[in-house]
Amino acid sequence: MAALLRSARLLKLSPAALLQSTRANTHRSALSRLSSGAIVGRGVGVHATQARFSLGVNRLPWPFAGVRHFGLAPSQQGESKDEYGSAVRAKQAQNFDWALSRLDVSVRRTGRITKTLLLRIFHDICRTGYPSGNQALLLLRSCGSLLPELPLPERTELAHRVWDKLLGQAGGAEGHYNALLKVYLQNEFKFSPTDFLAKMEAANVQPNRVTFQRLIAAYCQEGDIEGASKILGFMKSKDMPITEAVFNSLVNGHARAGDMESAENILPVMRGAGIEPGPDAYLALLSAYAEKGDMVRIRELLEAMQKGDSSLTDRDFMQVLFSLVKAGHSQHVPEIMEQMRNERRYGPDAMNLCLSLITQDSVNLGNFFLRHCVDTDKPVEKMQRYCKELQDSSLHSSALQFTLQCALEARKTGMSLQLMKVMKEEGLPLRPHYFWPLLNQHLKDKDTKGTLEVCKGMQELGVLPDVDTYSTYVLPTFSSVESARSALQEAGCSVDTEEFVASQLRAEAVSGNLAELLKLLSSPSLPDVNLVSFKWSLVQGFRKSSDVDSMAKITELLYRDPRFSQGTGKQADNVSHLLYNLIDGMAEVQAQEEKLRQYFHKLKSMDIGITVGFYRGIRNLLDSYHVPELIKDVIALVDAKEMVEGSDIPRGLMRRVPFLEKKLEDLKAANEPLGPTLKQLIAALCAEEKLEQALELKNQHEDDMVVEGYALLINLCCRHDNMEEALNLKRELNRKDSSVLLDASKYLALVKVLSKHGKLEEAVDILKEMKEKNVSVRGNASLQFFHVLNGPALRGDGAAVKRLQEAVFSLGLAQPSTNLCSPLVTMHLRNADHTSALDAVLEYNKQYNVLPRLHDVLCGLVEKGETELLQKAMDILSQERGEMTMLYDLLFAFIQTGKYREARKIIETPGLRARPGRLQWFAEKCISNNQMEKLENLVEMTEKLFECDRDDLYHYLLLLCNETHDWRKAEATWTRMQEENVIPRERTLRLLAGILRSNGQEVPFEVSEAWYEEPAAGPPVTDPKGPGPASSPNPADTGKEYQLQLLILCKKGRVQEAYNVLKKAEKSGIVLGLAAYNSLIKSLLAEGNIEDAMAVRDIAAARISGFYLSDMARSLLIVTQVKRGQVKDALATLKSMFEGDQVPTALAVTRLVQGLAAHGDTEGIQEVENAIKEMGSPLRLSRMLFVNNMALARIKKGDIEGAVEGLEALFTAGSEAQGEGTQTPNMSYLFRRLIEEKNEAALDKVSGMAERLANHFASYRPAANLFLEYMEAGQTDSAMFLLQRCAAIAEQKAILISYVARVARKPGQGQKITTLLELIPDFTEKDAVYPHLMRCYDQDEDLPSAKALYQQMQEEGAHVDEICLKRLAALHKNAGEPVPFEEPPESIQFYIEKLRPKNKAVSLAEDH
Amino acid sequence: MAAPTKKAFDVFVNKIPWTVATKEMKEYFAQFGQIKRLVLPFDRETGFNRGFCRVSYSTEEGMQNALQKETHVVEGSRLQVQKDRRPSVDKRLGGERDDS
Repeated sequence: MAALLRSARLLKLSPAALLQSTRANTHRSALSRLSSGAIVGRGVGVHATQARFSLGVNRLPWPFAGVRHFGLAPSQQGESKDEYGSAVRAKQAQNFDWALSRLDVSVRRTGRITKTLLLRIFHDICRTGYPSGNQALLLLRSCGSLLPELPLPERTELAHRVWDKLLGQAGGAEGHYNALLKVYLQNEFKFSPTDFLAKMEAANVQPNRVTFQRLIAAYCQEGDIEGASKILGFMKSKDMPITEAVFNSLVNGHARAGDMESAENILPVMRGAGIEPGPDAYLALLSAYAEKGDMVRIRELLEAMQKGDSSLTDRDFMQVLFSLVKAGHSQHVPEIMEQMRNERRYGPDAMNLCLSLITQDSVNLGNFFLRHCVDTDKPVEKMQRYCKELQDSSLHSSALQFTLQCALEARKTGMSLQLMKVMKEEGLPLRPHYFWPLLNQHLKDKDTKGTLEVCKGMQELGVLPDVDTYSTYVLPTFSSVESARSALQEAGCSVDTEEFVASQLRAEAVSGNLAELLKLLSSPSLPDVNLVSFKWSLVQGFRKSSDVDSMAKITELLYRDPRFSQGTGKQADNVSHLLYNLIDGMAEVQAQEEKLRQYFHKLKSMDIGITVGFYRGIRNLLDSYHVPELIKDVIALVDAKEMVEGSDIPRGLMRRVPFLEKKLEDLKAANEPLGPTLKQLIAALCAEEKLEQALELKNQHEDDMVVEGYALLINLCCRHDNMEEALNLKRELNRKDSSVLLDASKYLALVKVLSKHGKLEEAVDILKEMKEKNVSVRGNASLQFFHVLNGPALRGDGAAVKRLQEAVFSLGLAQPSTNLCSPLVTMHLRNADHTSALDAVLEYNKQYNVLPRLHDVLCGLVEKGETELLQKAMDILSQERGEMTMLYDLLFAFIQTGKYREARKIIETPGLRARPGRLQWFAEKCISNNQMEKLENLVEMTEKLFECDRDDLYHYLLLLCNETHDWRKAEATWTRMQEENVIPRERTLRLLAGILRSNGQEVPFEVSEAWYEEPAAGPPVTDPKGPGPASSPNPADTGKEYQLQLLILCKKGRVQEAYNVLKKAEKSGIVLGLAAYNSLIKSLLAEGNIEDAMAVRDIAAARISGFYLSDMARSLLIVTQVKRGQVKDALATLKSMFEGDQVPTALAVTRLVQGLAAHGDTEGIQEVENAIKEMGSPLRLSRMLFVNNMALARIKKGDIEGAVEGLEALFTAGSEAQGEGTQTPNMSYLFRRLIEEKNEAALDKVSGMAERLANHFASYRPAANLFLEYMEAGQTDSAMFLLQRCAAIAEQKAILISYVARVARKPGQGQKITTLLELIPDFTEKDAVYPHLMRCYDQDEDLPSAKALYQQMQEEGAHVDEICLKRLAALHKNAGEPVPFEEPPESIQFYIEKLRPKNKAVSLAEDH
Repeated sequence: MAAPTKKAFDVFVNKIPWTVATKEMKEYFAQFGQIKRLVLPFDRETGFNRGFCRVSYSTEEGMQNALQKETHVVEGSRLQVQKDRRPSVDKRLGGERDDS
């Protein structure tokens, strides 16, 4: 009984039992076509078995865990355990998870699977070559009603293909047969149940209750009550329970047999058997009546159900709908529709219903139907009729618009135009942007013919293209505005419209062709065009052009010609706005300062004015762009009268001038001190930018001037570019009081104006004074100095930049930074002088170790195709900053310039690994510049990059999606992540969910809220001795919260606190999740705390039945146990792991074997070795692990002879048996342990063995290993004796050289190499040893030894390669000595690269 | 004309039907107050609008009016209108197609 219960539970969760299943096999009307034996008019019914299961599924669309259990059970039964190793199983499991999650996503989102997806997974599974029973099951189950887009026979065919391919040889288990049966039922496939049973029998698979139930269902589907009864009788004889599902099948069977009375009678029979008929039984009946079109009975049944307090879901109703429509009773659809409640999954379900109906040739409703019509090119008249029907029956509010959208999306020009014609006839509005999707395609293809066709269509439909249509889509398709104009004219489109002209104006403006634009604008034939329609283009043109004359004239036209300002009121507003827009957002206003000044002057001379309001805005802008110098030029444009009367600008100072003047006079007359009033008056004049007046005032009252007055005046002079006067004032001030301090901004203003007039030395003097007087730069010093340096750079005065930079840096006013070094590079870049730009960058690198704007320089080089310069840059960079850095620089330059192919090649450079910091830098750059394409490419091409954090990269992509509110892209990203099988972090999921949610989309997954916020908000347990979480502000009172706290604490390494949390939870009787227990156990073990870990395990085992420790936790347990010397326990743990089919880590096994050896437990080692061999898995254990440790264990037990014998056998017997590829066993570990333990007796024996092996069996490796271990342990004497006894050691070049190479990698080991050379004075490969020795000396910075070595090498005539020379040269240089030989010119990295293949070749040669 | 100020009162509109463009959106949202800026961005890849846009009102009142209306229906589609929670960093989303 228990077994039956289990299978029933599992089946309920089977995803194949999704409701559509029932729909698909509901009706027989199409069956006459599909199956020969169908009997027309037999009546119909629902296959209730599936309906029942579907209920379970309704709430759990695709229960993950359930599927997994269901899947695993048969596969484990089906295959013998020994057949595959656990690694293979792991691989399969992983593959299964992947396939499952792909299908799962599809089902969860849409309730269906597409054929393409299924086939792709099928092929992938075939290709990876690990088809498991599980996967076959998964695929089989997907071949039924989850494929509503596929005709029924095709689905069955697919199922058979899966069967043949994945189960053909091994044969299936009962689960597979049952799944196949289900698919047959869903696909209404006609088959012989007896043959099916025979096949199972032949394959030696026992049919179970589910098999029989389904066979009954199959008979019933055909209306074959007799057949069903036979099986029923058999089931009874086997004492199998008759479940509700069987009764439901029988309802179906009787209905299909045309016997509705018997069908209805099943219900009382059920009650008699103690089963209350559920919704599924009713559904079976309802569907049967639906097929007959008997609405009266349907109504009665529904009423009866309501009374009986059972109800149907939307899904159930859709099944009834399906039956109705399929049998041609669609007139009753609205009545059923009324019963539906628009539940959560309504949309996808409805779509699937439609899909099934369309696929099975029945009519239907909705968007999706219309889309399908468009996709299949149904005639427009037909679609029009459908739309009308849909709309009339209120099934669709905007059917035509939607159809048009589909046609546009599919870029079907003809159909779209026809549909629009229909819409126009029906009085629906048509808009220019309806044509954009069509035009856009032609624009991309530069297809002028297609564009003209659309334009003609627009003309015919009476939709005039608007400015955007022309500018964005039409004109850019053509080579020029003129060619567009003539082509359009030829095609019969009118081009003298305001819209066309405006777009023409836009095109000219954007290209910066202002003279042409002026001509167009001043032409009397120009129609009225509102400035608004081309203002932004004009702004762009103005910013680009240097034709100040045309700019002013255009502005004048706009100011005076009423054609451009209809309805916008005052012309002044028009122009004021233009000026504001021109400056707002203008990059490098500083660079254009002179141009703007000329422009403003010209406007002034033309008597063009702006309003005070805009003046204030512009002034603020200029201030924020660090060009206050221009303010006085703008203020000149404001009507003085308006300035005074119209507003309080600037800030009431205006009215104060006369008042203060008066006050000053009064004071003077009264002979009172003038100081404060004088200062106020100067301030007022400065605010009005009245320099002359202010200076005059100063001259009149020189004696009464205070420091502040001077400071104000100096600032004003600087702003008015009056350098002479500024200097004079400064000198005057110094005379008055040399100790006086101006604030930094005044000093810097002076520096700016001086450098502008070429008075560099004076400027530097000011800087020096700042230093002397210790003037502190407030705020962002770097930014302020940047503007000082950027000024001359913008004027193209590179020498001035350099001089000022040097002064600023050497005086220590600011630290050299990338930003401060950038102006000069920027200057060269702007002049397109890439050579100088690169030189400047490299120079800065040398001087200050910064690389300003390197990325931009490289981009410039790439764009210009300056390969030589690029090469130079790359060489220097890789020398200075390393090859990796250089490659990244190059990568980003390629991506930035859109050279993705090249970028991809860089990514494919062997050895390149991810540098998160650099990737972040570029990704953030893309995000802030809104460069989706570049970012996408970056993400895409780094897929295979070693160690690349995929989640991170996708997170950047989503950040940008978030910025642009592009949920479609976000969703596509999510799909891509799944495709790539990226495991997203919590924050990524939350970001994605946020994007979808804020854009009104459904979130297809669960997001746990506030996983990070919570610990941040309420302070968690901070005091380890404190009262614990219960008394913290947010006491955890649910299991979830406990779990959260516990996991956080584990993560933070506060294990004891975590343990306390668990104890607390335990006290409150709260059960935590598996993960919580496991991670706590792991954390405790990591601290070596076995007792507590075991206590936790016991708690968990008591709480969760079937609790087991994870692989990792058990492996850790083993390591801890070994550490504590509890090897027996550790061994037991390992054994239990094997029993539980768990895989230990290599480390755990290694530690255990070593532990066993230390305890002399040879049997234990043998046991482990056997178990590992049985496991047949590549744990990557060293082959010698068992050999060496076995020997050690024997020695430990005192059985030295036995140990030696065992080892010797390995060499003597095994030398032939060992295949060629295998290396001679390495016994270094054994020797090392013996030397460490000073076990002389054993050493004697093994040393004797090594000698024997060398002298009699020509196996030199053991002797050489021993020799080197002696060396390593510093026992030179023992090494020497061994060498004397066994001279052949000196000839083991490969072993010795590799030892030398290993030694040379660590510093301070030169001594060992020299000792070795002393022991073997006539070593034949000295040439190979010397470079390593040189490396040692280089690391130790031991110049004298290096020198001696160099001399020795020369004396011996040894070849000194470039790497040695480079190293030696570096040593000389570091010691400040001249290099006594010619240093190789390239970088050391270069030579290492150059010599590498040679080294490799040599070592290969040695091997053979 | 008031002086240009940096302050704006934004609402964020979502689920905009494909049949409308900036003009229609402006016509609809102008009923709640004077609009300072409204650009419905179009996807250069597809030629369809992106389905969302930001409406900047000149006054807080306009913004509040728009937010207070319970349902916004344009061309038979129900718009989703909410307060723009984004910090006002760059308001020039899709700024290149600003002429209209």
